[in-house]
Amino acid sequence: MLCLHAVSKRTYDAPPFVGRVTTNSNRPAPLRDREVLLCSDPSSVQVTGFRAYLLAQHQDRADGAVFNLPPALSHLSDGDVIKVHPRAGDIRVLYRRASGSNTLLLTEQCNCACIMCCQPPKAGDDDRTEEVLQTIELIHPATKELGLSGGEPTLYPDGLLRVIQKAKSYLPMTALHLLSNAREFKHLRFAERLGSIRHPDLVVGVPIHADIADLHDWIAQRRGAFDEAILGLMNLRRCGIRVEVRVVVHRLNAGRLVPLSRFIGRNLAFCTHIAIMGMEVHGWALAQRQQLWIDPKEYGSALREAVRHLAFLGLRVSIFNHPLCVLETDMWGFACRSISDWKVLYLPVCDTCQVRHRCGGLFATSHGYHSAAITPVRLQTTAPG
Amino acid sequence: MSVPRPTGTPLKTLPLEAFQAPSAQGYALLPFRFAPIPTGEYLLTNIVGEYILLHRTDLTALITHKLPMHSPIYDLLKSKHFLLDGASSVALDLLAAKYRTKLASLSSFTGLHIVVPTLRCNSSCVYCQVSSQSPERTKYDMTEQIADRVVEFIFRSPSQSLKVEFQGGEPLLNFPILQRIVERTSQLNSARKRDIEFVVCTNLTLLTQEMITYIREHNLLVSTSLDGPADLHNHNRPGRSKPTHDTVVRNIRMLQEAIGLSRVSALMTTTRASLDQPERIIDEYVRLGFRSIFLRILNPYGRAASPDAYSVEEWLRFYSRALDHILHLNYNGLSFREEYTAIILRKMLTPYGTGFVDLQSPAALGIGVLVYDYDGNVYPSDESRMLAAMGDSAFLLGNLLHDSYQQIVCSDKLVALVRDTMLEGVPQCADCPLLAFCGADPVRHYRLQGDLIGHKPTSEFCKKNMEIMYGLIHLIEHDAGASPVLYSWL
Amino acid sequence: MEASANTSCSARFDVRVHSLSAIKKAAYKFTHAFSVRFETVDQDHVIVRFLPLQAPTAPLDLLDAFHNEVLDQDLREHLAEETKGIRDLIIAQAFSPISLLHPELETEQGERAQAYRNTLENAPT
Repeated sequence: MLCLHAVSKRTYDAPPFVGRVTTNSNRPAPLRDREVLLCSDPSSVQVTGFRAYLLAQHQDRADGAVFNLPPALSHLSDGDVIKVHPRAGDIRVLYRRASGSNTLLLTEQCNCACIMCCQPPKAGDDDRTEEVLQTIELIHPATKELGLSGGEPTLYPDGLLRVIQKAKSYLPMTALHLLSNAREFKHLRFAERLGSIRHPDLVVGVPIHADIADLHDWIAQRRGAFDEAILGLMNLRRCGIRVEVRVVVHRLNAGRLVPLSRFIGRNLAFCTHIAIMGMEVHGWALAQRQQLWIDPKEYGSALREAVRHLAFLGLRVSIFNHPLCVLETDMWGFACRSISDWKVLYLPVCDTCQVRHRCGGLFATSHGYHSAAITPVRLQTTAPG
Repeated sequence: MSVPRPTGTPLKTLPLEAFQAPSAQGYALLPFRFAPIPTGEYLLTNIVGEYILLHRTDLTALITHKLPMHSPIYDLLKSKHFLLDGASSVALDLLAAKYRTKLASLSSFTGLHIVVPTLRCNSSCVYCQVSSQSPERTKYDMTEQIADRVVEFIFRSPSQSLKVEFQGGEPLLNFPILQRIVERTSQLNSARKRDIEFVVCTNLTLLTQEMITYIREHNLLVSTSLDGPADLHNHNRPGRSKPTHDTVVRNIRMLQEAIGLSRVSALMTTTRASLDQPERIIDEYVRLGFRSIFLRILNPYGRAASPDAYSVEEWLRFYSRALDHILHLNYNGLSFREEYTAIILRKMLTPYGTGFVDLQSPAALGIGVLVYDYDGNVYPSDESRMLAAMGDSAFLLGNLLHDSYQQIVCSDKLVALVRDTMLEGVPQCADCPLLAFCGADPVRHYRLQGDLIGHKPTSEFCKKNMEIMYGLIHLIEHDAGASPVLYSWL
Repeated sequence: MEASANTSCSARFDVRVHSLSAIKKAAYKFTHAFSVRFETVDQDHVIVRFLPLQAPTAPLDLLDAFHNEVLDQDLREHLAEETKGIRDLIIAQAFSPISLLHPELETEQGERAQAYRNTLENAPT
């Protein structure tokens, strides 16, 4: 699993900044002020003009804006974008050029407290709009897709709108995937403002936990969350914005997967995609594992019926975060390699699996909570002749 | 898995009860209809056709507010929008949106335009509904002047989606007029940019290579009648001079080669001779590569209204055998569906309504379909044209040559016809849970029972739909093999 | 309820228990096989008489079915009474370009919404 955050033993006195990593000491001068040079050979140590310098252990430099490259961040490479707090030596990776799953964090606050949240919210004012805007300016324009998430990214509505406008201007070829509980979009005006940006490729992914309000609200731990999410979804649709429904499955809602699929088919058929997702056992999900954890094999037939129901209705549905061996083979066509590359894990038994290359693997972050049915798949071959 | 699991402190979370409406508050009912079904259970449907089956005791408890809150049945009823409680009111927003979706075709207005290029025909099908004229009598042909007015009228409809269907007589007997309409419509459409589909409904006996080329080049769809294997088809649909089956089959094959299997469809009409042979009829369709069949009951017009007609109960036995046979084809790996059933299933199982004329309330008369006869007469449905061919012009709306679009489409006559026959206001239909799936058929009821609304307890249309719809619900709910097949027809 | 010696059969109802409209709607459902007569006994009682149109069917089955149907019609009247307002609201919302259910969430929509509301208020009844 890749590390995205580490601390350098060396620090210096300067305010925090967002910078792009480069290994090229001959970068054009106007670019250097926003870039951090990853010094790979002795000669590059002496160049000037960069915002900061990341040195391998044995290197040194007279100039002050210098960090040691923490070994955990040895994967850093050209085009990556990092947030640096020089006084603390804190280096956080915001964007990796080589990754297919980059997500920018707009805030760590949230207006829900989902029982199974794998990245629990933090209190305190943390509008990260400026950081995100600066990151977007440094991201490579050929990036195919970018996630926007939190916490709940709609808590700073003006900031979010600026971010999306910025992405449209600077990254017109990049698909945006905004993860939001959609509650704030119950205000039609907010949905209208988002729609009027006319981003060319924006999808808002919204979690729906259940087909009835009490269960959804209980899981989200907020009264009114269900109603507001649905109103938000309807407003987004009204304003021409594509929406996706995301269902994280665990013990509290697995029993209602089929009624939920029926509910989505009737009420939310305007959604561009439905993702039924295995739970990441991390954060609060880990803390609440006694009531949440369920082996996916246990709800396998309900999952299959739910997926088939949605597929028969002509809706696009995918299964996320489930390894192929716990799914019926006719579900494999719906399974995606959805786990972010930096936190994916395969078990030793997976070495002999004949479909490992197609399988999305497991969460490295799930603290060992995997199906008891993980087993290498041997494909049926028909007898020759 | 022997990975050591770290301990975490369980967080303080509010329990489920904190998010449920307290029992003391009770629940509110949402509008629905109900009736007992043959199995003894009750069928409930809400205003958008979502349904549930309940025992009578639960139904009574539900309506008298004695149903235990938060029980499994309660949750299901809440999820399906039969009741709501203090925890959530978004059901109202959703029902409103869904209702609007079901009736979306209303706002598009007339989407189906049926054009009769000629009343001449070279066949003499035993059940012909339109008293067609023999091939030589060209005074039964649509003129160019009328054809041009037809095209004008078609574009007066605000609908983005337009289907132009050529019926007859035998449309191929006046191919030049068909071509004129196709070409003028396509020409005008380069500026109007509607989505237009052309369908030629033909007996396929007069198909030439030139016609096949034309059909292919202009992307026309073809619908034909195939009543079964040779003996049955020739019995029902004799040509004026020779049997038709061989020719029809040969032409079907040529067309399929030229334009693709999915663009050639067929329907059958059931006569007394057909009643005992559903399997043979369907097998003939399978043999010819069709993936669907439309099982049609006799319409009570023209020669079909004869003593050789049969009862609706007899037809329903035919349908039941046919459906069973089709299901077995599907079980054995062939995707084949029955079209009338598929239309009903879409109404039952999806949020969408239908464009199918016979299953709409308000009736699709005029507002969904317009028929332009060879002589310029305009009717609000094909059935009303057939009635006029029998001598009863009760539903004639006007004539293209001397009436304006407003006069024809906005007449009080048409408005009253549609408004007064809406199922929501009609005895027995108003209470029927199948209302969400059914349709008003004023012309048929007028023909068979003497009034536009009809007497539903004796209506064959009602009996047919009730039995089919209850039967389908039974299959979906209780037949684990049939249910996925039926869903695959959506 | 009684089955008489000739082929008609009848049922007697107290209209304080079941409304007359419920009884009539229930009777309508049987008019495919029976001719139905209503006879007023007194202010509170009515007799419904079924005369078979063709060969007589089993009268007791009919009376059971009819009685159940009257009870069903009663339930329908309760239901219709309770849900009429909500039904009108749903249908009004279905065809409204603005939210009637949550006007407070659309306060910033501007003159267009306000103008529409004005026309609703001023519309001739």
